[in-house]
Amino acid sequence: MIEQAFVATAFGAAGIFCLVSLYVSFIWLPRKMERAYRNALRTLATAVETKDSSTLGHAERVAELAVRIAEKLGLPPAEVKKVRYAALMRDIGKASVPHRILNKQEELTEGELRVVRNHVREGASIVSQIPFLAPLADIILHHHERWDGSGYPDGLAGDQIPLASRIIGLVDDYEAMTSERPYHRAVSEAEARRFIEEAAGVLYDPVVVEAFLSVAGSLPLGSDTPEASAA
Amino acid sequence: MGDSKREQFAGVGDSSGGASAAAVAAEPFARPERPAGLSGLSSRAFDILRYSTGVILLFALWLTLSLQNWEGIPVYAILAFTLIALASELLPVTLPLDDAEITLTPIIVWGVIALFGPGAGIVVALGAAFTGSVLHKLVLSARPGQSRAGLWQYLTYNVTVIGITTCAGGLTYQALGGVRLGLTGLEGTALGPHVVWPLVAGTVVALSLDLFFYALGSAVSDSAQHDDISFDAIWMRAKVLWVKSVFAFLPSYVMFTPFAFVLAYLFVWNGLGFWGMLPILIPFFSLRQTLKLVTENIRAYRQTITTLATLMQKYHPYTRGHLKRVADLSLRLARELRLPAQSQQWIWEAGLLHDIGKVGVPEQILDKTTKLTDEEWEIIKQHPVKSAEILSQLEFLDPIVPWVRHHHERVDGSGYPDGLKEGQMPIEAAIIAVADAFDAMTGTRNVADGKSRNQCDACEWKPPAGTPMPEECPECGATLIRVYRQPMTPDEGISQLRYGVDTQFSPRVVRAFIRMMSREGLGQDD
Repeated sequence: MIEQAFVATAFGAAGIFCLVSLYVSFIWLPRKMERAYRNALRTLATAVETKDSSTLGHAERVAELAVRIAEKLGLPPAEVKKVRYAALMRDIGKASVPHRILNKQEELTEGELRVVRNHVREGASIVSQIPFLAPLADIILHHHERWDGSGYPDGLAGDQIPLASRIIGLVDDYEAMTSERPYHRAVSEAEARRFIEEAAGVLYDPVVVEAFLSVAGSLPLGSDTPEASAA
Repeated sequence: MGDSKREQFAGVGDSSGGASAAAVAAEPFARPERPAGLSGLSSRAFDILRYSTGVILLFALWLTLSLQNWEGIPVYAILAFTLIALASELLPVTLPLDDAEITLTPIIVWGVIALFGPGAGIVVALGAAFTGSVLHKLVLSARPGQSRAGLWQYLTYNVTVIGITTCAGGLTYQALGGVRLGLTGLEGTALGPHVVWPLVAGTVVALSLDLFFYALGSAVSDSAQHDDISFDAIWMRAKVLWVKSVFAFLPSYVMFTPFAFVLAYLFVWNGLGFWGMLPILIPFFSLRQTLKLVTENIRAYRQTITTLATLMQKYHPYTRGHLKRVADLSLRLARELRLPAQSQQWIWEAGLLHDIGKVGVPEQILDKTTKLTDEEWEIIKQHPVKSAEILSQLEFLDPIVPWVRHHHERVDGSGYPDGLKEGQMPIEAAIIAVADAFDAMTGTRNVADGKSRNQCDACEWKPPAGTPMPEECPECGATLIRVYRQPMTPDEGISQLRYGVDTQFSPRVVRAFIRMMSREGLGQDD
């Protein structure tokens, strides 16, 4: 009798232990890790942004808007995650662009322009050396390509450009237009949207533009509300 | 002690120490430690060892199998246990940090020994280990870029050792009066003297032997690499390694015994059979998953840290080498001062990342050779604050944030950013300050670097043939890496540290530094 009670209790405890361990390893821990990854990337992004005070919080905002567009386009969750990470990491190559070029107010010389443009290659090469970020290298490499093939580094056009790069490139431009920079003044969000709408099919993928327009109107973005997107 | 002894008893491990050593070398900011495991196994001395252990195995097998009574033992059970053992062999748990692997196989093998005797145990053990090794070899051979040298030798040696140790352990179990629970049943069996204690003794014998063969194998391949295959040399190495690893692994290994006992008990209890394995299998696979995630997490953290350091170097190439040397020195100092474990764990990272905030300081200021203006000085003074801000976003780096923030404080209170005095600043910050200053003074910053440079760091512009690279690149305007003064000798550096005690550097840290330097010199890492 006592032995049976003991064994029953032991088995009950073992059962609960099994369930808890399953929960921890398959549900709780993965969630926690996801947060940790995001923090790590945010830190890397901040390290680069520290260089250039005008872009503080920029990566976060770009990531937030890019993710909304990706979701609007119906990308699977894994792809959306890649969009978010790539958006955070896209300018990591700017670490090797000197301050005086980044913050220069006059027009850049050809050599300086080459240095600035090289940041996509630098970024891709940094990221490709980090196993958990390596899949982002391609997206980062091509986030300055244009729909009509006028972008850099490879002059890809249309569908040749990874979709994630097309999304991030558009959001990056939008963010840059609507915020104050050493070399230009901010334009209003409405103006920026109009510009992007007109450039659909030329600079930007029309499908992405459409998703952007339906998403951007509903979002409080821009340099005056840096916290809005962090939530 | 980062011994990378793999659970050899459990069967195949990862390819070999050689591969992981290569991975460490490829990593630019690898933390120092981790001795390599078995490597260079294709020597003749090792072949002799393999063949002699093979002969021992045949004898042990003959002895064990001839003592085994197969009557009443269900064939299907042996087969099923072998398959389960094989499965667990192919799904090992990799422990984070060192590359040690744990499998369930020993638990299953010992469960089978307690259930059906040593002969049955050796069949399961060898079946799983052999098949596992073959599959492992196939997988590894198919993987490109893997070092395969000596893999086959390693695997066969491993299987042989598993066979020998299992036989020895199993026979010990039987000799000490261990019964076959699967045949006698639970009723009327005194579990203590007839199962548990023989089981403990058997596992201790098996593990000691296993570690002995592991040590022997390592010693042979080590000695062969050093071209010294005299018996004495091998024996010395093996003995040292053996004693060390027995102390390191015996306690955790004996933990397996209760699980083996539970497995055997539940198998018999109320005819539960293989269902009785669930309470062992489920937590094990959860553990596997958990550790896998934790390992991934730790890797990602390490990679993040490495990337931060890479960014710093991309930004300011002058720091190349400096950061890693500061990190290594800080770690050695922390050990010398016997700081708490947490400090020793993180100070290397803190040393590596202490200047990350300099990313926010324009390079013209960092590279300026003339006196800084007040305004520029204010910007410089902000870099520890910025470092701390960047790092504070990484939860797991929380402990190092204050160390990094205060690495430019001085003991007389005249430092920045907060003007803390001796006793107010964390000792870790004082350590980084000393290591940083010492390496800045003595570091082998290649002086020729600036002169022999023939292209721009930023845009790769090249000056016309025969002319030197000017200080400022005419193409993109990037300033060249400043040509620093001739580095000091370590002795000069130390006397500078002495000079700064009580004003700049913590006396306690400087004392430890001098002690360490006079004992070990500059260190093995550079």
